[in-house]
Amino acid sequence: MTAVIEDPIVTSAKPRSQWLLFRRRFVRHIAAMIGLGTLTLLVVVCFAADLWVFYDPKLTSILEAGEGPSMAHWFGTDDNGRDYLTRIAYAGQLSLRIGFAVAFISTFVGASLGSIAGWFGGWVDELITRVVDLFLIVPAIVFLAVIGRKISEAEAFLWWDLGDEFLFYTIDRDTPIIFALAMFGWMQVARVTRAQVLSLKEKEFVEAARAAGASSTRIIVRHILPNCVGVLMVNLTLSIAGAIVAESTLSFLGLGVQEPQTSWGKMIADAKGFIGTEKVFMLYFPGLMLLLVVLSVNFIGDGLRDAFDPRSKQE
Amino acid sequence: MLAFFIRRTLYSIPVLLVGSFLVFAMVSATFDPTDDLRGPRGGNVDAAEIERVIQAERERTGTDRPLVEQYASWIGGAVRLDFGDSWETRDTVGSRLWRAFGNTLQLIGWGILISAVLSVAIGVYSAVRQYTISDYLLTGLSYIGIAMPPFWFALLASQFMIFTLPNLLGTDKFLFISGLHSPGKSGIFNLDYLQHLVLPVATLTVQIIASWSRFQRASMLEVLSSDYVRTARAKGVPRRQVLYRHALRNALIPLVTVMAIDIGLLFGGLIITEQIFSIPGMGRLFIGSLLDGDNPVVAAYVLLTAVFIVIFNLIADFMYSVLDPRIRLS
Repeated sequence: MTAVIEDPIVTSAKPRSQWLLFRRRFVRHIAAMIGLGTLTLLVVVCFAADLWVFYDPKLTSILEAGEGPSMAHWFGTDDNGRDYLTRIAYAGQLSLRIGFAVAFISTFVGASLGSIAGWFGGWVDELITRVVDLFLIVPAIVFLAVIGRKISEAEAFLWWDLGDEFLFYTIDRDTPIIFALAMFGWMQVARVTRAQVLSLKEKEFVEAARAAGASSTRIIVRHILPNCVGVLMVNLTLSIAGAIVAESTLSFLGLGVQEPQTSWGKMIADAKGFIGTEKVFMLYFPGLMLLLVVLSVNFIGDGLRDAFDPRSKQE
Repeated sequence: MLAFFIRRTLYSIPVLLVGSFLVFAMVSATFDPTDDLRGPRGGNVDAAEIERVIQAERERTGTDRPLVEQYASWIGGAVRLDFGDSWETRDTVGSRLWRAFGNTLQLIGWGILISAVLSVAIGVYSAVRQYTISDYLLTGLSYIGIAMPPFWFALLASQFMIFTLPNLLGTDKFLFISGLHSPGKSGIFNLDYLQHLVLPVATLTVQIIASWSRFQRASMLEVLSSDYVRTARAKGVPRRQVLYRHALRNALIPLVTVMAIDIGLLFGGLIITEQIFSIPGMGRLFIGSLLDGDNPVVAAYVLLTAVFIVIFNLIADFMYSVLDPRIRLS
């Protein structure tokens, strides 16, 4: 008599893809989930501002100028009597849009250049590495300040003459800032991607693909880049934070976003004169928003890193 | 090893040269000294007269020559520390930068010293007390410190230390937010200097302390779980001695490299700090000149920053190989 012994482990095991494992680890990362929730909430609240605000963001009212938070104005009013919560929401649209756009552009540029450098090696690698070194010899904020004085004069900046539309993109007043920030945000991504590609291209599956006759482009796009996704996503999230802070710093120095537009950094700059007065609450709210966004993004980045590479988990 | 450093140093020279040309071109492209002479004006001013004034201004600032020629004479002077004349004042760029350098050096010096001491102390403490309440508290603070924009921190700290706290306690202000000395005072060994220094140095270092201490904590934890630390403990070396003699000394190596590289961040942070606290240092001079359109000062500041960063990167490489002989340079 033979008994069939069911192995509970073998029979219950379902095939698990890497993606599923990643998702599971990410969802279990509490801090990352809180970060994701907060960021989503802020993004929705800011971009849906048209649907919920009670006040016109430009409507001034001298009688209500500089009032502290109340039931009518939750975040108070600014020195021109404009509802501060409304201002925060519209400023957030700009801050967030700049942050996301810069992160995507710089990650795209960095990943492309990094993978080209790592894959082809030789003089191409040499050239790209030198260019990265060139961009890293001065702190980005110094470069950005120099470019910023041109941006703050707005109108006549580089591609401005191309008309209102360039390719598929509508050019706004903040387009130059996005490109300037992206110009100094891609180097780290390029370095990381290059290192990743250098190690990946020695792997067996790449050799197999090459033996099967795949072209360089195909190998990079189909085999190398998918294996870099983890690193790239972590870098993408972190560069969102970097870009938002860089923009706010520039605007704080008066070299970024200009009137009539406003961003959280510019709102802090506008409120700095109220230190020591009762209007100092104007300083708190935009900074708190910046802090919340950057914290959430950093937590998401941590979660992604731990989920993609469980070994790297910081103890 | 010597060959490696000679090669690295030689390699930095072309990077600096190309970099300085780009910097010079960028600074020239973003501001034209004759711009405000061209604007619309009232009254009937002779067009030829305007043209003559513009030409004179171009000659005075040297912008009538081709860019490459301007660059060649600028960089030729710069290697002899002669950065030409300021456009806005009747001073040389060198003397303006030199006057500002003293204040900047004080900020950077105290900044590095305080961030190094505090971050090592915090890092070691939270590594040794891993997963206790104080570790969690310090970790939480460091997350906030990294995420907080330094300029916002500066304004919050000013509000709190200058107004909120003295009001609460009913005392006089015990810190100041303008300059490094009260009028008529000088020297660095007095209370007045300390009262002026606290907030700027805190602004400059808050982000750096937060990130260095995280780094130090991680590297300390790694060392503490290594075999030689366990061996030392097992053969009965006192705990304190294991901590400082065996663990800390090795755990400092990665931090030292990061420190040398992050000094670059300090140079960036200076701009904000000096601007907010009205300290007449190089960062404030840079922003002021930028807004005034004083190109020679701007270009000189950017070039000096680049040189400093290249030097500190070299030091980082050097430290790394000196402190850890296992690392072979090639």
